[in-house]
Amino acid sequence: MEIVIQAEPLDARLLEQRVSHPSCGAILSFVGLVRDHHAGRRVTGLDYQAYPAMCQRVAGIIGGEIHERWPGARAALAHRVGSLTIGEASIVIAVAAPHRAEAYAASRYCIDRVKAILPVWKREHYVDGEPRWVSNAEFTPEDS
Amino acid sequence: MLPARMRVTIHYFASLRDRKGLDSEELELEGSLTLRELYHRLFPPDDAPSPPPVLYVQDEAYVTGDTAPRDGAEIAFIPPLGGG
Repeated sequence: MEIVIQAEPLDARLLEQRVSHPSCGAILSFVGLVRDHHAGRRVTGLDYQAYPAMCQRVAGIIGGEIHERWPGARAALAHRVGSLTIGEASIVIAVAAPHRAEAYAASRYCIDRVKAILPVWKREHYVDGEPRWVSNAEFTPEDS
Repeated sequence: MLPARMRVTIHYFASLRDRKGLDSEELELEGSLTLRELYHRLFPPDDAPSPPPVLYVQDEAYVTGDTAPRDGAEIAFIPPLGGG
């Protein structure tokens, strides 16, 4: 699966063009946005950090898993790094597939896997208190 | 027999980067130890606040904590992920 890690704003339309194919009757884009609250606290912005070389490898793994489950699906992913403000897109996942059911299923699968294994970290800034690195619920450490 | 010596590069991210004040560093390791032991050596479990639970990475691939570092390896400890 193609992946782009970038400091510049994301463009869902551009990613859709990358997965578009004559065999595909549906394209679904998932766009994740920076939200102004988390766990009852008011959030003012986020910093994202990534391990870019490993992101390429992990995207290959996730892409392989998607291909096994939905052979006709074509997925691509873009993730922001750096400082983001409320309402900005942090991630775009574009999936093209022959039919919509595969596109919805593969898109959902992809974001769940991203949250579990893509080496990207998020620090939240709050109206009150110190910024904090926060964990996805899907992350499963080896020794917990 | 002399103990095995090797050089590895360690990459730090998120809270581990903040603790170290470093993006990465080269280390010379002596003897045999696992990635889990290396993590505990670099980030003692009784430090306060306690170091985060991690996943282990060698050469950009997830491996188990029982893995022995390879000479020349790129090693990373993956604290709780927040992508998406």
